[in-house]
Amino acid sequence: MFKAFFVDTRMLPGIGFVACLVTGMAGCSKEEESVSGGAASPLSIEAAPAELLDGDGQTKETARVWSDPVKAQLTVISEAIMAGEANAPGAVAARVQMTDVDTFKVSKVYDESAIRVDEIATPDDPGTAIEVNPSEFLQKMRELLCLASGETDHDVHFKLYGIDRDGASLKTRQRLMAHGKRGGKQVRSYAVVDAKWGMPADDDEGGAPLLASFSMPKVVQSELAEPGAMFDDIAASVLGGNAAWSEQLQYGMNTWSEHIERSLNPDFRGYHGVAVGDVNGDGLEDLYLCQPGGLPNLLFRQKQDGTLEDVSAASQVDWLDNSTGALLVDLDNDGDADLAVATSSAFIIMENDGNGTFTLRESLTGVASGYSPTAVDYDLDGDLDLLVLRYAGDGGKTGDFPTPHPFHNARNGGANVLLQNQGSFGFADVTSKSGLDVENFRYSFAAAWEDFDNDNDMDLYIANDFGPNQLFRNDGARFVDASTASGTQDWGFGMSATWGDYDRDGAMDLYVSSMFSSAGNQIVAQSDFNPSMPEETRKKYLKMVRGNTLMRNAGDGSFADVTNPMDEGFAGWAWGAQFADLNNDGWEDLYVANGYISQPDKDDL
Amino acid sequence: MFFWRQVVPQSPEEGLKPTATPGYARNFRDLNEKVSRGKSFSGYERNPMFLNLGGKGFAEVAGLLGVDYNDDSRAVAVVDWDRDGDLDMWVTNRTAPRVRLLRNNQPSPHSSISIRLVGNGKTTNRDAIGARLTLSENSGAKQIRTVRAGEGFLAQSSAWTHFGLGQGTGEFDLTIAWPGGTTETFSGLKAGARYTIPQGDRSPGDPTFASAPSVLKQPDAVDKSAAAGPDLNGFWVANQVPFPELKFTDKEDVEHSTQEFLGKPLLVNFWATWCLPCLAELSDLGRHADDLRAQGVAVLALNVDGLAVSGSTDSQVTPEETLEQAGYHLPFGFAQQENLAMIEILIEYLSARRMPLSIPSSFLIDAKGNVAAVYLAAVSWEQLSADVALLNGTPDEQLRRASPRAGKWFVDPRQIDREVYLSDHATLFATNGFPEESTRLYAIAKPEKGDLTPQEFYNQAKAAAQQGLVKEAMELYTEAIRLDPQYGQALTGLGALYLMQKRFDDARPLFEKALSIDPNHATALVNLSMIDQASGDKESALKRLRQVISRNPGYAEAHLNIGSLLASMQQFDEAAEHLAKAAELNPKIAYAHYGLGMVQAQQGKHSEAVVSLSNAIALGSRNPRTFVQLGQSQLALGEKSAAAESFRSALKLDPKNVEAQRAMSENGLQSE
Repeated sequence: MFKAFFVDTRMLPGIGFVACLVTGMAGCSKEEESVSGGAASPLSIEAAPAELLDGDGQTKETARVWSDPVKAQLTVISEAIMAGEANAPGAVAARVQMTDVDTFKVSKVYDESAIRVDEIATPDDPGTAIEVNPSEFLQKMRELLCLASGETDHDVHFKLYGIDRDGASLKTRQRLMAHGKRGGKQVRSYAVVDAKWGMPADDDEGGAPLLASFSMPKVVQSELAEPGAMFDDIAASVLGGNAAWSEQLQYGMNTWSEHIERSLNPDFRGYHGVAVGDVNGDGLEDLYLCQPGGLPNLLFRQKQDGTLEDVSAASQVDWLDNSTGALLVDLDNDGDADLAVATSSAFIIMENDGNGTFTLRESLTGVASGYSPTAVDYDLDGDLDLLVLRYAGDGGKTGDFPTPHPFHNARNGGANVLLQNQGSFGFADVTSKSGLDVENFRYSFAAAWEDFDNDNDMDLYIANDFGPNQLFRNDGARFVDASTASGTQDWGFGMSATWGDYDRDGAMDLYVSSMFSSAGNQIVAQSDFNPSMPEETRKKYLKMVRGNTLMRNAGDGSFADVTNPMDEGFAGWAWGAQFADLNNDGWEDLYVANGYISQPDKDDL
Repeated sequence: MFFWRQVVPQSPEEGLKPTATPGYARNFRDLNEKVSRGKSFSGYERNPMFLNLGGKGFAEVAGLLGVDYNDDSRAVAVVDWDRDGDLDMWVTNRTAPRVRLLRNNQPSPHSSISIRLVGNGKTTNRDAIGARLTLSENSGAKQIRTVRAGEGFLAQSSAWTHFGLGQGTGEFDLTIAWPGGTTETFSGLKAGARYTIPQGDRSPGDPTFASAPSVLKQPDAVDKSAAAGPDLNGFWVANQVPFPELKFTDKEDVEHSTQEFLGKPLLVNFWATWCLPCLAELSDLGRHADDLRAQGVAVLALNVDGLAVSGSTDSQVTPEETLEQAGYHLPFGFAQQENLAMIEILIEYLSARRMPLSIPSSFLIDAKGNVAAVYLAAVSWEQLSADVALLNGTPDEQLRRASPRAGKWFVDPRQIDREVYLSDHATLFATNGFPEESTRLYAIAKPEKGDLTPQEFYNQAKAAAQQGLVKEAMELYTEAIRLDPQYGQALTGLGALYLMQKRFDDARPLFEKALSIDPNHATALVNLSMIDQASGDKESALKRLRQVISRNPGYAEAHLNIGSLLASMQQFDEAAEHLAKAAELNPKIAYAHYGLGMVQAQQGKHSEAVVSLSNAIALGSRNPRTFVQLGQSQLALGEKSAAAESFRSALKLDPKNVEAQRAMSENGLQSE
């Protein structure tokens, strides 16, 4: 027998309406509910104050339910390995299927300049599995990874980035990273591990997955021949004599945000860059640092002993307006380095008097809130032109993350500007004339110029957040959009780009910073992630969370994505990246800046 | 995981307008708010370094080489800073230290050649940017580099071009293709050397050989222990905003307002008896009572004992005793919890950080009631005295005080649209549950209503609606629409107010107008579906709700509404799915559990119904029907005593509830 329990609400059925009534938006944020309380519906008394979707959005997702328990188990296992335990009770099943590491073959893939890299792998893929007990499993891991208990600098941990149900069990993929020692030498190990977990019975409240299978067909192990770090940070030695070091650069944006009023634009995200150049013609390169609103940009002059002296105020370049990027380049061909700074107020251009003192010559307020300025003679007329990128379309409120629309192919970013040098510090906007106004609405973060087609002019690559990147081929000072044809769109979160001939075939290759997100990888792969999404879009999302990209230039105008996602592709939330031959072996290496916002609350969004 | 689970999946598909998926922008705002409240977002990630394995892939070596910092790093500039023949790096960070110089202590036997090109300044720019260098080794192997200025994220690297030489030794050939066309070739370049090559010179010139300055050969000797924080306390407010009106009580429990103090400068101090720095601060102020009077500044010490404040502990002494002991005989009062919430909103607006109020904190307010200085720790008399004097200082002096370190502004940060700035301040109070304060602030922001933008009329309308001022709200919405007839949110806002009054004929065209602007406008669709239902057109209502859900699969309230509608159409299976989805998406909606329980009871799934209805009750449902149905389902399961308890609860809420009475008597249950 059906009882019409909604009968008394026929006029206003469903409290969702009431809760949503007053808002201009469909959501039911707190502010709207006070009105619903006075609404006519008798059911409105049922309307629990509800922040829409502030709870977990997709409760049944495997990732949401099992990600944390698996991470906890991986921690238990790591600790058991490190502590020299004979078991990891409650985390490892009584019998574990594991790749037979005793059959591993070692092949040396690099051995130069004090660094040795070995690939240790099964003779065939995926290799044979053996069944071991927990004690054997832990011991084999310790031996393989050169870990000894009691060594404080030894460490092993796992980063989970894939998770899915596999019938009654759970399968996960994680990256293993270990730091051990062999014969007094540091040994680092990296591997991708596919694990399977036995699941607790349904009525087992608080039951946790048990490691049942551990497949690790390959480990990359690197070793440093000499003790001690090959790099060290000597900023304090070089900058230490300056008040700007002890009173300004020693504090991060978490601290400064409590001491600078918001309207001074201190950009909490810390998008503050660096330029290296010789400002006083003494042959030594000097340092310009961009700083948040309310703190002066800093120019440090290098002394003969390599230390730095703060000359910001005397040089007239101590701008307090929030600044992102700067250039020290000769804009009037008189032999000294002039200064261009992208600030939240304007794009500022200053002339160097030859001794390192600067005079304001041009300020383009229409190009405020620019990013990553670059200089190039794109039209080959003998002087330098300037490119300024724009990120958020509205200039971007301080500290705020923008709302890209749509997320995977955002078209509401800012317009980049190419400035042609007219001489005497005059610059003309030639964005449209030069052909750079194609899809000029992306969230552009970084540019990299290079002659990728070896025709003696500079082509342009632009890294864009939330969508495709762009490659513009320079055809006689006209830019032609070659993004799709060249295969360099690299759909993702473009943050930075750098050119280098990494394989020394005479054609410049491309490395792009993007984002590897373990959360994103787990969630986007779930079938219930936005179920109505077209398959084509889902593929783009999956590419977006993969990480950084290495694109090999075939030399014929086309590029191939040759990224190994677990090696050079594996960074986190990546920013600046540069090709540089860091060990002088003749091959270009890479260093990548990484990480978005670290705060005392480590619970990550 | 919030970002990937709650924000990203809400993104509209290609071609949809923002109003089709309102949850997306809202959750982005939530994301910002969570960051401003101190959550990490991809934090503590280590910088990788990838070693090139001879053109055959890369291996991560950052940890091995000691450069795997977990800073929030940003820009990387490459330079051989110590001129020893290997590449060092300047790296900027969001976190402290804001810059590192990563010195390369390469023990490598390998050598390098560095080259600085100088263009002729006519056909080629002086910096030779765009020049292509090709270095040939005696083996015939080649390397190419191009001179660039600015590459990647916010970085300009050295103007020197660096070639690592690997196993190569002896002499090298160099070809330079200058931008603009000419090419020069040099031979005999030596390993370990630095060359400056001006365009058109026929020889590469005398090389300088690499050698590090002695200072840079030393290990970094400076103490790197973490610094405590800059010698600063809060900030001077460059763009002043009104201090919120705080209503506090005196010791006779009489309510007062901070507005009573207007007319001269005022320091409002928050303190507690359990806070030691507070006592020292109050003594200091008490000692300088005469000086304060002489400077014409009033002090109001608001006690927060007993309020929820971070760091709060029990105290054995009364506030009055403490003040006596501190020698403080200036005005004081007792803060209310609401005061603290308003102060946190104020600080959020001024700093973009949402921090719990630390005790002590103080605010210097000028004679007009604007906040001039914020102190997030005890303020010394010296500081206060200087700041009070600065209230009469020049704009330049005040701006210098607002900027924590010296420098010059290109654009004075006070050159803002003050009306907009103050209106945003008012809006923040509106969206944080202080509509009265918001209305007060709007009135200060824009004394003339005629100056308001459509957005501001809309914000005011929302604030008015929250205070139950329906008539005013409708006028304000109407004004917003008059100024901007395409203002979708104002259209739906006004429509919703009509809907509340059941004025369907007035409401419908507004929602339809919103739909004509965006055919997927979610709010308009939801509300129109309600009008459809009211006029008996359930099919149309269903169609609209299905459209909303197809665009917003994570929209809990839409699932709730469609579930309710389907239930009323006796389509219980699908109704249950949507109601369960609503409860899953937003477990806090009691009504979803209630509706689900009702449907499950209809389906004869009484044990499930008991769970759902109990959930609804646990979430605060006080509808007698919830208890009646719970009782009936319990009866169906044979749980007589539990059922009796449920019916009794129903009767407690509604003593005349016929269904409960009948169920009790029919089943012989005791009313006690």
